[in-house]
Amino acid sequence: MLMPKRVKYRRAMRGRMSGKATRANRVDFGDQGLMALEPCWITARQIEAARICLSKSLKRAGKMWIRIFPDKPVSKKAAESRMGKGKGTPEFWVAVVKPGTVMFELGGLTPAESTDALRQAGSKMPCRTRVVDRGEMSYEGF
Amino acid sequence: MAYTVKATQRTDTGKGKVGRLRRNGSLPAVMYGHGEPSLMLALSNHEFNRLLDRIRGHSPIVEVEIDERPAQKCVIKTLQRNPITGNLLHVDFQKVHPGEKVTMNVPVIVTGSAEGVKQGGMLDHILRTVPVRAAIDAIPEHFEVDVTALKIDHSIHIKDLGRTDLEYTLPLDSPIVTVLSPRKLTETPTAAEAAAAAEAGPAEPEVITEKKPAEEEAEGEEEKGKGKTKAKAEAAPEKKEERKKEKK
Repeated sequence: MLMPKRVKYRRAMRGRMSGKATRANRVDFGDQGLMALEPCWITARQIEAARICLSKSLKRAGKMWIRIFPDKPVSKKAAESRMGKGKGTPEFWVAVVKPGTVMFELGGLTPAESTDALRQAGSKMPCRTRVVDRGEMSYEGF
Repeated sequence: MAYTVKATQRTDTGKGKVGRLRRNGSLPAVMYGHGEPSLMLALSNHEFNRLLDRIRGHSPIVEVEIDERPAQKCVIKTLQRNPITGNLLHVDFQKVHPGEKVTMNVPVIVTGSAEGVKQGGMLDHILRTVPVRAAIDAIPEHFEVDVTALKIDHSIHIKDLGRTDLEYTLPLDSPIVTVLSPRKLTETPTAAEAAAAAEAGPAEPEVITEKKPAEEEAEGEEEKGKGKTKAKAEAAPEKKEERKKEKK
């Protein structure tokens, strides 16, 4: 599963997820992409599930791009432990996603194939998603 | 082929009025260029979307008719969209005169099925648009690239487009389309390796700011040393007082 090799601090604060995505908000590499419509934390496990789902549909024909990376540690306190005594131990890693973020992209497949694959990958996500075409968000020719 | 956009001049400005305009099915737009005062326009959102579907894959040169005045040749300079829904919010038209030199991104359309793809390679479309500087009438609607004869590890470059009369802003040897060699089996981890990695569990990442054991020991010793000197410093005045008393 994806996680950083080096970090500055072991634990991180939760932060806020307000606003829309101002970067990675269009299909830049492939022909189609999977866009998040809600703010959420995507765990490394969920990214891995979507990656496996997409790579099965690629069949060595197309190319896949993963545009999110789980760089935020989420800590949890042990079960039945009393409050206090500091922050819990890091349990898993998440990627913070805002509405409009294009999380995965596919290229080199037919539109029907890539739409189907991205829909399946979208079902592994904890938020509502939408399949977007390259030309939908930007017009090629400007 | 000339594409015509019908527009009306608008006086409503500000996000409230413009929002009402959008809710009524219109699309706010602006037309500017050549140092003339800019004109605020309103278009039919539905018709403009249909035009964009027709214009896809072509250079965005259109003729704008405002309130049945003579059509003005323009370039669609910018499209503003809602980043989530993709709905159009605003359009910018830039006036151009016939024969005027402009820089535009000309779309590249790939046709045919590459020979290298049949051999197991993957077609990589690197440049989807080619920036071109030329007179507005000389700018092609699109470049068509036939990739039928393209083998694995071969590419089609800008110089292969066959339009030497145009001025390209990118180097002529920039690749437009290439066929990548098939991925080697060794690159992807086998199922057994993946399972083993999953069983091993997540490794902890290295913490940059964390102190290493050797450093900690060194610091501990330093602190001990400091503690001794402090104790000595505290003990010193007491000893002095004792000596004074003995002298007396």
